[in-house]
This record gives sequence, C-alpha cells and structure tokens, in this order.
Amino acid sequence: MREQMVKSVKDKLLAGVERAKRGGASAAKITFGHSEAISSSFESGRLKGAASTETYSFTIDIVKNGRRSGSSGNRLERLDDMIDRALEFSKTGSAAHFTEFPAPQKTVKLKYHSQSVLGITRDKMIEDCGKIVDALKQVDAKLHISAGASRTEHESLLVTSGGVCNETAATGWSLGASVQRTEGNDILMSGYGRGWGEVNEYYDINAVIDRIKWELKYAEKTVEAPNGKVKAFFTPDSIWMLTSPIISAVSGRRVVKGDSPLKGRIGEEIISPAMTITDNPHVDYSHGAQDMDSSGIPTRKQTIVDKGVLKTFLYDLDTAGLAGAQPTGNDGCSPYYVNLNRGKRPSQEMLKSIKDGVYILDALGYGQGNIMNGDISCNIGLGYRIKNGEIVGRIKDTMMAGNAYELCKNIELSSDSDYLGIMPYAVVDGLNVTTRQ
Amino acid sequence: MSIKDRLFEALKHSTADYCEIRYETEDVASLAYRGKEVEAAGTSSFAGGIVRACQKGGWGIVKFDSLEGLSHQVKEACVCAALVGKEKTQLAEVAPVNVERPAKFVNDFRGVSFDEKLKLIEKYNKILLAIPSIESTSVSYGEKFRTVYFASTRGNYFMEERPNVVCAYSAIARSGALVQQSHDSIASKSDYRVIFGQEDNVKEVGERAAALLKAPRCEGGTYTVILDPQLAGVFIHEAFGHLSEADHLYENPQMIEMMQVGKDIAPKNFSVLDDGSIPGQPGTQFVDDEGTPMRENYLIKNGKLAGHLHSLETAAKMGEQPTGNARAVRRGFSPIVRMTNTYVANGTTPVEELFAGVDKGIYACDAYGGQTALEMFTFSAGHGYKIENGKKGELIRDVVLSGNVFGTLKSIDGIGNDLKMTPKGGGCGKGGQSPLPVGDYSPHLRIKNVVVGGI
Repeated sequence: MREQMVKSVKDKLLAGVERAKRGGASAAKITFGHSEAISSSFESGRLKGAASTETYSFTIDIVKNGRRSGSSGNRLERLDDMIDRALEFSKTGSAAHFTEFPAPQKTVKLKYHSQSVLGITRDKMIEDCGKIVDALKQVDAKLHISAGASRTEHESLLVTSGGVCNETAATGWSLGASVQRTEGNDILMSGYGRGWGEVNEYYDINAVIDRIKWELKYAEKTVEAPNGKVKAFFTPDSIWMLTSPIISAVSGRRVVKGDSPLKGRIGEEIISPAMTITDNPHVDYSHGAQDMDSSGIPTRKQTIVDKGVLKTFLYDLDTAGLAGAQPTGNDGCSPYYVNLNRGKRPSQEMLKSIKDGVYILDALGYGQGNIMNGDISCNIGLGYRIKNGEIVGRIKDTMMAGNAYELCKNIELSSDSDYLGIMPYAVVDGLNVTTRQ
Repeated sequence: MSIKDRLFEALKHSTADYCEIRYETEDVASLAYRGKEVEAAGTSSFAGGIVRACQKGGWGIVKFDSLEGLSHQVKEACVCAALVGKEKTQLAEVAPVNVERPAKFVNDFRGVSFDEKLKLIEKYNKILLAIPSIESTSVSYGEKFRTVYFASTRGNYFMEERPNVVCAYSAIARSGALVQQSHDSIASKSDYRVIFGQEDNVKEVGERAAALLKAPRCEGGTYTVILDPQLAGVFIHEAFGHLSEADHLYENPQMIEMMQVGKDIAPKNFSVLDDGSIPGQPGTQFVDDEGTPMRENYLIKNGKLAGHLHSLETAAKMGEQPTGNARAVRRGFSPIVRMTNTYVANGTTPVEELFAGVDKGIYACDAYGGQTALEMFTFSAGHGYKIENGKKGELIRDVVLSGNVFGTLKSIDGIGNDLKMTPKGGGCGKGGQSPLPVGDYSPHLRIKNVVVGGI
C-alpha cells in the first residue's frame, strides 16, 4: 500500500512540475514527505501516554521571470492551487540566482531504512522505558522521572524540472529519559537520550540509566564556583557550544550577505591547528545521511576547517549563484553531520591535568546574545567544579562567557569520543566564569 | 456536513472517560528582505489536528492531517488511552461553551496586495542600509490566519479565528571581523496598519547596531541592575512565569511545596498577573485549547504567591480552579500549560528616581531572549548602559543576566510607573512547541545583586 501511495504521489508531483512550467516557471521543484510514528511516554515515574501520528507535507519552489517563490501545504488535493499560488507570488518573490535545477547526477548509495526499527513495538517501548524509570527510582525514590521512546517511518520524494526524481524511505528510533530532583528551593535537572536509523548497539537502556546516574552522583554536593578565567572541560554532548558559532558562520548565505565574521577568510587559520571540522552526509542510518540536496545536487564529504585553517563555505544552489561560487550540495548552506577530529590524550587524562576549572554539561540561555560574532555569554545549566583533576561537586548561579573563536584557539581534543564516534571531549583555556559574590 | 457536526459525529465512537478533537486550518504568507534583495517570499496552507482521549488517567493521542476517517482516529486514541491508563481520570469541570468567534479586524490584512506589503518592508530596509557600518539587514513581514475547531465528549464546542501580522527588522553592523546586531518588531491580531509608521524605530535599531561596534563588552560581576520594560517583561516571563505553570508542579510534591500559595516571595508592592482576556494581545484567546475561558490570574499579589496556571488535568490534581492556560502552538500538538499575557503590575516610582538610587550599576535594555530551568533563569539584553552616580552612561554590549528566582524577586527594590503593553513578534518555547505568541510586559524594574556575565 505504501508503494502504491508513493507511486500515485510521484505521478502528481511530476504533473505538478509540468503545471508550473506551463504557468511560466523556468525552474520548479516539488518535495513530498509522509511520516508515520508511534511513541510512548512516562511522566512522574509512570506510564502516561501513547501516541500515533500520520502526517503529510509538500513544498513547491519555482523560478519565474528571474523571481523565486514557494508554497507549502499538506492537503495534496490542493497541490494545483498551491502551485498557482507560488506562480502568482513570484511577482513579489526573491531574486533567483539560478535559472534551472541541474540534471540528475550520480550519487552515493546510502542506507536510511531498517526493518529492525519497525520491529520496535509499543509494548517494547513501554517495557524499556519502564526499566529506565525503575532503575532511576532505585537511585532516589523522590526523583521526578520522565521517559519516552518512539519509532518513525518516513518516505520522501523530490521531483525537479531538471529531471531529478528521487525517492527515499527512512526509519528512526529515539529513547531517552530526564529527571528532576527538588530539595527546598534547589532544582537539579538531568537527562539523556539517543536516536538512530537502525536498531543496533546504540539502542541501550543501560547507557541512558548510567549517564543520568553519573550526573546525579556528581551533583549531590553543591560547591563554590570559581571566578575569572579558567580551564573548561566540554563533553561530546556539550562541545557544540564551542563549534556551533563556527558552523553557523560557514553558511555561504551568511557570508555573501555580510553577517558572517568569516567572510573573506578562506585559507586563514581561524582556530587551533589541533582542530579539524568535517561534514559527512554519507554515514548510513545517521540523522544527517543525505545523498542529494533538495535541488538534486549530490552531497559530499567536506573538510570545512583543516587543522585550524578555513577551507570552504557551504552553498546551496541559489546562494552559489549569488556568490559566484560552486554549489556544495548543502541545503540551507548548512552541514548535515558534523565531525571533529580526535586528539592525542584520553579525556580522563586531560581531566586529571586540570588543577582548577569547570566541567560543562549544559547551558541555559545559550545563543541569546551576539552569537553570530561567536560571543558566548550564558548560564552554566549543569556544570561541576574540577579541582586537582577531580570533579568535586556541582556549581550553580554561574555565568560563562567567551568568544568561541578565541576559545577554540586554545583547545585540546581527546583521543576518545562519544558513542557515535563523531565528537571528542575538549578542554579550553580562558573561559570566563562569573558567580555570585 | 459542517466541521462541528463531523467532530461530534466522530466523538460518538469514543469509549474513553474523556475525548476531545481539535482541528485547525492555517494560512500563512511571508516576505523578507535580507541585505539589498528580497530573500524569501512564500505562502503555506495546512490543515490537521489531534484527538486526545483519557481513560483511567492515561492519555491516548492521535495526530492527523485529514478529517477523513476521523472516527477511526477517535477509536485508536481510545485504544491507546486504555492501554496506558491504570488510575483515575482527573479533569476539572468547566461549564461547556458552545461558541463561534470570527476574527474582529480594525484593519484586515487579507485583500491587501503583497505589492503594498513588500513596498513597506523595502522602505524600512532602505532606512537600515543607509546607515553607515550596516553590512546586512533582515526585514520581514508575516501574516497568519488560523482557524481552530474544538469539540469534546463533555459537549464543549468552539470555533475561533486567530489572525496575526508581524513586522520584524534587524540590522547587522560590521567592522572588520566584529559583528553586532540590534532588532525590534511589532505585531497585531486585529490591525494590519500597526506595522506602518515604524520609520523612527527602524532608524534607531540601525543606529544602535552601528554604535554597538564601538561599545565595550560588559564586565562580568554582581550589580544593581535597572531593566527597561522590554527586558523586564522577559525577566518576569522566564524568572517566574514558567515556574507558575502547573504541569511543572502537579505531580511533584517538592515543587508544590516550593510554590505554595501564600508564600512570601517578593516585596509587598510587587504583583504579577497572567491574563488571556486582554483584547488585542498576543496571548489572548476567547478560550484556551481545552475550551476553558481565558481570564485574569494573579500569580503574585502584593508580594505573596497567589496562584498557578492550569490545564484541566493540573487543576483537578492540585485541587485548584482551571485558569484557561492550556494552549497548543499549532495543529498536531497537545495543549500544555502555557502563559498568555504575563505582566508586572504598574508601580508608582518615576523612572528617573529608579536611576537616582544607583551609584554603580547597569541599565539593561531590549531583549534577545531568555531561558529558565525553573529555579534558575537567564535572559539577555540587546544592549545596555553603565549607570554611574545615578545617571545613564556609556553604551555596553553582551549584557547577559542570570539568577535564582527566589533571591532575585526579593531583591527587587524599585518598580517604575511606566507599564505599557505593545505587542511584539516572536514567542515562547516549551516542550518542543515554539513559537507560541505571548505577551510579556513590565514597567522599569530595579533589582539588586544580579549576576551579570561578561568577559
């Protein structure tokens, strides 16, 4: 039934692209998505909800008379009407920096869909979340515990006037929990979750339990936070706080529009030679797996920063045209699946060498400032104090500040990484920490 | 068959203690300039909804796009609820409504050409680009017309039209590798023409972005801080509003104790309200998304904790009255407890007197946003000024404030007399539902011992 639905929709999309061309579009593309999901959730330590979802969506993108506009919806019976709306809207559309979507090109064959995910039944979700909740209740009966699991199956279609007609099916699961400990006026929150496109060793309820237990253990005692510039230890789950301003700044759109601090700096050393940042959209079953972008351009593995030197910006088709560059196959001028290189020393050894510093797990208010300049200034959401190489307790009421580029000039990456193998641990020197006097 | 009839027909198939269907249509159009060019022009039209069934306290939820097969969705939601529920359904009783509320416009945006809308944002964009040091701009216009239908097995029915227009503008100034920005917005549910006449505000935004290039960074430390009305509104939303949402409290005895009604929590002249019935405000609806009429709710009254914000379930489980605060950001989402229009009641102190009491401090203005972890909150100013000897001084940047809610509320020692409620764009995020339109307002506030982050 699924195949029939996809075929029927494909025919509609192909007809839709022809309709757009008859309406005067020099280029047109239509994407379609259909998603079915089930989930179960625990709240306050007990089974609370079970949900089912089925949704549809389509987007239309046209170029007419050098102007670009789009429309979207979820009622396929209105596809023609939405195509006509997009054509009409093009009069007030944005300037298009390309005239045609490219012809089909060879792409890497990737795996997105696994029957193993469809084997996750609702009963299994309830059983696994129940085990997580029970295990955490053993840690502390007063913990307020939530847990949830889901599985999704998704089909997508891309049809362009350049002749691309691409169909993919994907699956995904998620599994996670969060806890809240309240004592007097003190609230501690901790949580962890995982997801992937195939059921493998990543689906591990003990990993969820152990992570939360670890965070709770080191948060049992609240200690004084340091003040001033310190060394900061970031985990694979928090290192994004250092890298996301850089990743955002390599957007070709931001560069050509003038609001990226990296404009004009290809070939320059922008961060430490200890750091290499790559984008790899070709990892089977990953959340970033993508064989082509939404214009039909093949994606590729790219080194964005090589040993500290900026190598490339990321361009979608339109932005490449605006910038006079080659498209890199990156939708929204964003990477799909960021990887960092590994360093020389294991993270535990790096931790041991910190005399007085902070261990950052989570931030509060990250990005609500001048992050486009790389300026980080926010609250440490969950963090610990490190003294003489040991975590000595939780810190509260503490702000951290620094510029991501400056911090990444003084950084060491670990030789070990997260379970996905894409992010190491990191220590930076010079994070400014302020706490209540 | 009308949509109302279709909803009630489907509900006949419910086998749960309680079942509701919410179905929505949403039409959106947006135009945006970025730098010298039109960046985006688009329109969308979506429909869909959600069935929620409660059986023995467990919830079954089915999200759908089409009204076809709605009775099947109801049955499935009831099956899910029966699978989950092991206790007793507890949902507060509210007199059922049976009402249809078409939108009331002062000036309707529908029927106005997109040419006119594009010309307006083009004008604002040119004002920004004409300012020296402005490298890039973002000026956007957005309109939305949302129609919400709701029916429940309690006989509740409403249809409400919820339109909105927003015009937002920001300027990015650049000097070498240093980039600074400033922004503002204006919104209305009923009057398209509010987006006109913003030329002076737009120019101020551009000039501020340029000035921030030369402004020094804020030095981290503990300060007496005066918050301007915009930032003070975000402060109260983050610092206290979220903590008042009863879904953070209702099944957590320690949280209920922390937020006990009657607790001394702020100075005696300090009051905070949440009110979804104020006409024309972003968070205002006739009823919430469970059919409970919205109303004025005191959260803090004369310094004492006065109440919480509720859905039907949280109200029943806490033995309190439902308050009309169950809201869903759009189709396909369950309603959860959200704020509507939250504000600090007007004080009596002229603003200049607030400054007079400060030898060394920070005047924090405008808001990038904020976030809360309930007890802890943080919010960031668009810009700030040093306060020296009671006077506003040098412009500074990167002013980010943080605190513990209980300590900070008690440290408020000055409340201005300049409360105004001017709707803006943007919204609140919670539980994956963002941006939900809310109002957050306050007069100027002076607060002692605030931790301010900085280099």
